[in-house]
Amino acid sequence: MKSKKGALFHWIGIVVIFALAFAVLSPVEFGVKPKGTWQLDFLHYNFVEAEKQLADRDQVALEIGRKTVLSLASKGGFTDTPSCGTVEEVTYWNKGKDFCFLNVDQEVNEQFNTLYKKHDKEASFILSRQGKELIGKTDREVLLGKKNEQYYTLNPGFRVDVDYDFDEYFKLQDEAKKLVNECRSAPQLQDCLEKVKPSYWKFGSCKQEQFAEQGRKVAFCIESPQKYAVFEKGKFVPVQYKAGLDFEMN
Amino acid sequence: MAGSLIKNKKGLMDDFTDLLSFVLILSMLGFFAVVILRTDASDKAERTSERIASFYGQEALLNLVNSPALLDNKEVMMKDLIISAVNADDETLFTEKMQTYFEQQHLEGGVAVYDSVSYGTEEEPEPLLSYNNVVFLGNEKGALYLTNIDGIGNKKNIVIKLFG
Repeated sequence: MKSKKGALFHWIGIVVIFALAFAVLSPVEFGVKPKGTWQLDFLHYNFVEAEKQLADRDQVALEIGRKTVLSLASKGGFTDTPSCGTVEEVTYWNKGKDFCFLNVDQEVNEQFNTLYKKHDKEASFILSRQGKELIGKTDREVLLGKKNEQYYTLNPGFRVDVDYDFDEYFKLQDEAKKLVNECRSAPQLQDCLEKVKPSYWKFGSCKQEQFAEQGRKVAFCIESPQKYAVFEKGKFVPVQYKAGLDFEMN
Repeated sequence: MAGSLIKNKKGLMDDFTDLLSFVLILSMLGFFAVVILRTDASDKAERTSERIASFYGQEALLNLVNSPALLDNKEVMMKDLIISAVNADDETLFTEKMQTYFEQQHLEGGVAVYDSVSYGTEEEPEPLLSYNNVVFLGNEKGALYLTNIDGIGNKKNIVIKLFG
């Protein structure tokens, strides 16, 4: 009886040692669990990753937006040749009395997507404008993280400030109509245009203005009335529109 | 009677020593458990703090690239300037703008820009541009990839790393 009592204490000691060994060697984690692991994982792999990707995608959209401004201006605002035609790479805004009115939103949308596709063939955005901002919407989703049934996606839509207002085209087209109306019947076209045209409408080239007439068709380089300049390849490039007007009577 | 008492006392002493050693073992185990758990808890709290600090580091990097900057008295974004400086190999422009930003934000550390090819393949890639305002750069706070649509060759994608 006496020996059994003593043995009980010895067994307790051995059991405790085994329990301790199990606790050390077992893959199950004992002790304090780190706080906020799920939340920090979420922030790191989803939120921060999404913010980084958005920073990159917004920059691409901004640069392509600026290229859209310059590219459209060099083609008189038209992505494709309008029915009024082009002569020596100058897009004409009218053919006699008929004007080829610009659908600015449509042209911006088309030009932007054409330029963006050079960078990402699958990309497609529906563009809208708000002041100097371009807003791009897309149904596409970029999968960032997936865990079991839960996943985190990023919508690569954007809102970027191109520091340029496409509404300037409306002002220029109004001025173009006025020029055509007032000088169409003038025998001395150059004299008439010099009296009527605003100073930022230059004959031929913005660098070296020179009047040239081809069958009463005159090419213009129009400096931005608002003096817009777009940041492109490390410098501010002034926005200059290339457009032609036809002063033919019929 | 006297002999039996002595025998009982011996047994009692034996049980008492067993109890004493058991209590001693238990208190030692308790002591170690408390020490281990406390160290473990502080390790894990430290790990959590490091991860929170890493989150703030990444935020600092995002704030840097998305911050406005002045060029020829016109506002552009820091991303624009970094990309322009990389394309033109303009270390002066990069240093000047980073210095202004670090001073305004009271930051200590540095920033380095790599081309993504060297960054992904070389163990110690040479930065295209770098700036620091301390002797030792410190730990990496975050890295960010940017697409450089006008970039040539390896510069088509760049990596910006913030240290501090």
